Amino acid sequence: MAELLELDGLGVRYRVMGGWRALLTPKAPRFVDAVLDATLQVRAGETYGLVGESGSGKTTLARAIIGLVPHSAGQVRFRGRAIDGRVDSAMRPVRREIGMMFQDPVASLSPRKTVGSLVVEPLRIHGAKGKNLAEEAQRLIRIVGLDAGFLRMYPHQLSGGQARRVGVARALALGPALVIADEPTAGLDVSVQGEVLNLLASLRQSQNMALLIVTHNLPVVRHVSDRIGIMYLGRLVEQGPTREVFRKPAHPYTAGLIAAVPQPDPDLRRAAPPIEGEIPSLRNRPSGCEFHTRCKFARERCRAEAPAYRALGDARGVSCHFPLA
Amino acid sequence: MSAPILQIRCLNVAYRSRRGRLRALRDVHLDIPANRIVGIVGESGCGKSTLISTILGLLAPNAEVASGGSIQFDGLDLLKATVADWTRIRGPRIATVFQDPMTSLNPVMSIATQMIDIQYRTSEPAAEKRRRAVEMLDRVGIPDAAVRIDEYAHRFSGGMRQRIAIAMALLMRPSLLIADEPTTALDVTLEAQIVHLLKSLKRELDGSILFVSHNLGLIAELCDEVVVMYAGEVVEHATVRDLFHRPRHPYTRLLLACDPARVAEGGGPLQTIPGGLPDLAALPQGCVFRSRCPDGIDACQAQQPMRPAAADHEVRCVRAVHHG
Repeated sequence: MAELLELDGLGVRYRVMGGWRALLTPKAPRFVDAVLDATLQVRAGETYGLVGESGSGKTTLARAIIGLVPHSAGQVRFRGRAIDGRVDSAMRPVRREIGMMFQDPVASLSPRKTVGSLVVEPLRIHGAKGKNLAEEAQRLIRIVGLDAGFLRMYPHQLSGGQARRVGVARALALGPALVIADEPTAGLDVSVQGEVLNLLASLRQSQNMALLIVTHNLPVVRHVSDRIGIMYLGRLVEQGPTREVFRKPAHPYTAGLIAAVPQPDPDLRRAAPPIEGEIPSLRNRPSGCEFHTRCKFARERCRAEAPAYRALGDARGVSCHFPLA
Repeated sequence: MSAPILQIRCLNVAYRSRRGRLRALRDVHLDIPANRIVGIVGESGCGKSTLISTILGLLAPNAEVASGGSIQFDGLDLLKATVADWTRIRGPRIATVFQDPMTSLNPVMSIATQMIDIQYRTSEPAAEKRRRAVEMLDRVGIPDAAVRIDEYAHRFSGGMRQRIAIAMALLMRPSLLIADEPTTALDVTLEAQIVHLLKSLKRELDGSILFVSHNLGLIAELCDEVVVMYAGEVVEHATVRDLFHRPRHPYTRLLLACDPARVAEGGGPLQTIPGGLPDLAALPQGCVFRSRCPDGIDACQAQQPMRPAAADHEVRCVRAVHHG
């Protein structure tokens, strides 16, 4: 299969302190690396799930792909061509092909516009030649399973699930080859969560597009994605086919994360929390393997030497000195 | 089962609104036995928050509690409690942990000041109160508690703040702790830690916990018994194993089936519950779940009471009782 999106050693760096405060405290770090050395590929038509806890850099990574935050290292390639988020004119044609669903569906919709004008906004911006906008709005709203009556409504009149659907419609407006969905199910009730995921899955097939789902919700990722990547402190620590990773996680963090999801069965209660401690601060990264402060299997080498990301079989990769699988 | 510490009888709460009276809670009967963890599960709009606010006497001014109901606690009907009663109860007898710890921690007071202040009813030297506060922080897993107690809330991470909120809630050894979605804002690894903390604290502190959550996995992990709510009614109440292994109400069954944590690797579409909540201002006749229920019959058009379906298992469904 062809690689649609390739990230090659991508890094995103945020400035944390500047100006006169930086002069007063010369030793304090000036930058934090929100994403470090991220290498991943999304193939045409597949669903890739990017998983991590808050602060792991998953949202920053997603935003860096479409150039909403500039990257400081590495390269993003789309259909084999390097794209540079810093040059707006270079981004425009790429943004037609990459649809984005933002985290908070209600906050990402302008409260003063009707659903009808919101869903065709991408068409208006990117200049849809010879397209009847009203007809397009009807088509899009129907694709996401709402009826045409919604086109006259305003975002505050929508329920969480409906707002999510409008977000999907907007992402699909330009017929993208890739849709990036940032936490598509956060804040939804379980009975509605399924609706949104089923919609995304069926659209992926009917529109023949790839999906990059960014989420902290492991059951969701397990259900919808073909391959997953696990992020910790801005690094991809493990990647592989979803089924294999869940069956036999290689990185101790992945294993702990999977074990931390409570099972809806009182007979499967856990004796102790699988991962102790908290995520360290990005300003003060641990030495060696950055997970060693919380890892049950950490040895001397883990504290001293950072593990390189290496292949594990032909489809998987992990950055751990002593992988479990 | 021992005598309940909280006994809710025939509770009906409605909100006055421009669209008429929204009947947010209807015919709620609920016992919380001593030393048990009772879970309340339900989706948004099911009445969880109204129920908690009613127990705590914190209902909005436009709420009306119908006469005829009662909430017995400590030999007192909480629905008739006076301001003086509430000062005695809220905090020392019934404590609460909310979803966002920043709503219960004061940002401009150090943790020490807050934790000493809430012991104002005990006449002990401040040093003793401080010692007790440090001990409690230590117990909930705040590293270096004796030093960090003098810091302010913003210096702690989200998980640590929630631990502090729990320590503050338990400081006065309440007999009932209400935990309202205490882990929803936390990551899954921290969530597991907090749930284990609550479990071990409950063993030591000799009280009951009312644990409100929409997360079925957490309910299964922590609770002894579970109450399922839908559109303002309790529709099922059972022991945790019964509820997860032999759910009787069609809504409970569908809710469990929807949880993606249940289905392993996907492929097939996820279960959903088509339709939406009924309008609380114009409730349909009969069972409230009727319009979405896959196995409704004619008898569902009549109002359903809670009925025993098995030992320690009650359900509000005419079919569930007969067909088991």
